[in-house]
Amino acid sequence: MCVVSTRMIEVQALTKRYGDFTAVRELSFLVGPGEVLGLVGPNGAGKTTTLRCLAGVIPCNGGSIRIAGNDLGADPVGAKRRLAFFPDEPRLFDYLTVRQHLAFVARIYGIENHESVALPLLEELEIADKANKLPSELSRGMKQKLVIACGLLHGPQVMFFDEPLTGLDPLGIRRMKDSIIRRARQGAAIVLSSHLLHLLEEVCSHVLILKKGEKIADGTLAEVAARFSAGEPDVSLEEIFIRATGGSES
Amino acid sequence: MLRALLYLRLVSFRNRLVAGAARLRQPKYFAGAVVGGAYLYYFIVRPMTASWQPVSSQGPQHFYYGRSFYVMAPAFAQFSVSVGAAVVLFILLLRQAFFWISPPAQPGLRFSEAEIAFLFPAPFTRRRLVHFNLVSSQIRILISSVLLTVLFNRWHGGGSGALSRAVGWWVIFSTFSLYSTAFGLGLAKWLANSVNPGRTRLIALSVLGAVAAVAAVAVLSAASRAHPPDAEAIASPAALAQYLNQLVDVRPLHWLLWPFQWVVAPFLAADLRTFALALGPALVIPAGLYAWIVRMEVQFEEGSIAMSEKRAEIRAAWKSGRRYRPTQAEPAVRRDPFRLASRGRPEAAFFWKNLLAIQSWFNLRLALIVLGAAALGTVGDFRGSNGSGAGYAPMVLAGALIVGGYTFFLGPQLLRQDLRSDLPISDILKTYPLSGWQIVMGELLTPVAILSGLLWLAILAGTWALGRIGHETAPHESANRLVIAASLGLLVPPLCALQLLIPNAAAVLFPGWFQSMRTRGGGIEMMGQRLIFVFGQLLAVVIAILPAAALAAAVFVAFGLFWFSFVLSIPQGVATILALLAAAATLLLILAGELWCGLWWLGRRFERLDLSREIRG
Repeated sequence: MCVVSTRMIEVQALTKRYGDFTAVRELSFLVGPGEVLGLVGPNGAGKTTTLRCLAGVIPCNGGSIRIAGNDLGADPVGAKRRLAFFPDEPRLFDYLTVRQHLAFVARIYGIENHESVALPLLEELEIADKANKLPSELSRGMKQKLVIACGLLHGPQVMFFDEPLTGLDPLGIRRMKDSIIRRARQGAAIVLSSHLLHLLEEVCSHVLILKKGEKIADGTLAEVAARFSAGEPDVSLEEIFIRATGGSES
Repeated sequence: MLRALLYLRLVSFRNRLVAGAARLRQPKYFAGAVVGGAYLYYFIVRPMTASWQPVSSQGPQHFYYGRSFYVMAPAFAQFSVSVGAAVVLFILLLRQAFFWISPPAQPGLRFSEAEIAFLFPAPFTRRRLVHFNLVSSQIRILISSVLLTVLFNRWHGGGSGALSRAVGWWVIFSTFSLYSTAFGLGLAKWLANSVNPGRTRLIALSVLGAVAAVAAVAVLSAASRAHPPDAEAIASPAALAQYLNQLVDVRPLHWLLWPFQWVVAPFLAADLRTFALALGPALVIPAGLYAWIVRMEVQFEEGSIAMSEKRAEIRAAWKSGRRYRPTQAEPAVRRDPFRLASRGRPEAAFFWKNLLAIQSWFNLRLALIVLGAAALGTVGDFRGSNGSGAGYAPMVLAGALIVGGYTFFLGPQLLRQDLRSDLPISDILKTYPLSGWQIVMGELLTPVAILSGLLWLAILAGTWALGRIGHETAPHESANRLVIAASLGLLVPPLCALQLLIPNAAAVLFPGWFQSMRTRGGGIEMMGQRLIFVFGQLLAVVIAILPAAALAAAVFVAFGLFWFSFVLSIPQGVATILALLAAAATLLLILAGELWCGLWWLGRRFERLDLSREIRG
């Protein structure tokens, strides 16, 4: 049974190891409904690994993850019903059209009358005219939109975006940002990773800085800025990031 | 620049060896290496070392190994240089025809994507890039030549045979490679400068046709005069060689073959002296082609990039388990195999999706082949049986056994439209709110359905053929046959599913291997793993079937011979049928139980699969 929680994402002491290498160490954070958490860090900091653990794509070695009250370890199916994961690369089935992708996902999630949800989604994402096209006939941006449509079809309460703006044109970036903000306003809890700090400034309510798999800082943008600004006014997130991470790769 | 090339190749080779060695620390790769090494030793090294020994000293136990490698190489030497030259001429004529029929759109050289990214913007002249490309290809050819020599050549007699053969292979392959490069570059340039490319191609193809006609007339004329070896003699390499020598050693073919004789002479040299004398002239042709390419001054950059992109597309298609389709070709949208309702078992969605993926296989061509075979069989059976005999029934039975055997044993390896093809997108599958076993079961449904369909057809054909051959007199004999066929039919789906579990388990347990098999070259450990999986699949089926079959046999005896006959006093024929059904039901239940355990276990493994970790390793 789903426990209603004010915290949509609860992560406690999440640890992920690859042999002797610890990719994520004792990571804890909370994300509430309507909040957008930006995951930032240098290359190899563990952002993608964290997102993949949160989405149940890979198992973690320690800690616990609760998605909308469902323990991902104990009830992965229940947790996954409430989340959507959007990888950095749009990975689609080569031989399924846009419409067939949505039909497939609808059956997986058991969405009745999915057409009534799918059509507005396709129209919102401006790919309704591509419904009978195969992925090979779509541009990268359109593929990305199809992935988003598939992810949103079951109305997830929790969303994980890994580098959501990769490969999008300026208009696509604008629309993606609007879409993320709109979903958050509708009550979704969102975690996104990106190197594009201006995106985080515009979209995120909270930020979590990772380095070598460990949390350096987290909180609202203002809180994190206050911690690293050393009393200076109007310090940019870029400057905060450089100060927090020491300006080097992990 | 050549030092840079050497550095690149050597360091890459060393790193590959180091990475391969590091991987051996993982037991799964170590086991593969042990099995692969043992295979190579028993099937390549041991026969080779056996042939090092003088033939006279070999005992009977070494005879096979000695013979297979000792006789093969002298057999080459029995063919005249003209035969070798004729083979080269034939291949070149085909290559030329292909070039002229489908000329390259733009001149290009084979560079990897990384080479293009690093070398094209680098401060090198075009000529140096050409040198880089040609020398690079020579390294590949040299390695291939040595491998071919190891596989097909004698190593006895102090090594001179091995040396001449390796150099001989290298001269032949180099000539082919350089010729293809030179002609590909030149042709694109000529056609681009030609006023009427269509006419130029027509003239060239006419000349090629004339050359082929002259060669064919000469060979046919010689064939009419020569005495072909009889059926026994043709098995002897000497007789075959003598006959072929007679066919090609005729004028004017002899003159036509003259330059090609230079190319094959080192390879066919009988001794070191002949080889040394033949080597000089043989090198003239590749050297000339090399000089021609270097001096050609063709703008090959765009063509090279296009070639590189095409290779990347092919690799990507192979990696994702789909067929390569040129970018220009319009892909066809496929119709839904059936209407997929939004509600219901989610496994059906995988079945639906994978059926869509293989829909293109079931095309008009396949339908015509099946209908043609069926029509041929029907007509042949009707004419052959003449109302009394078995007609084509024995052939149908043999066909059913062959098709059934291949389908059962090789089908699961070949039909990969399951978890194996979706492994690259396992991240997406794992975000679905499904248990691992549900995903595995859904993915297996399509290949199970197809293999079962084929096996049912084979059973149907075999049952029919047995009925025609068997001259059954009593009704219960026919009934027994039909009951056995029906029982086999019932057992087919779980057996196919069990068979498919093994290669799918291999993909989940060894995703690193599975991915690397699609993206990078193999290795001893890869070969060993493939062998392990093939034997593992057979072993797993035997283990799955044997206890179940033993219990089913016990049920058959207990019910058929004891309970139905003696206790219930049911007539023998009916008792046998009932016992067969009871045995089949027992077998089905046990197989279903085993299958469920397999699905559950593989599902758990899939849930824990971390592709990124495997690929890192």
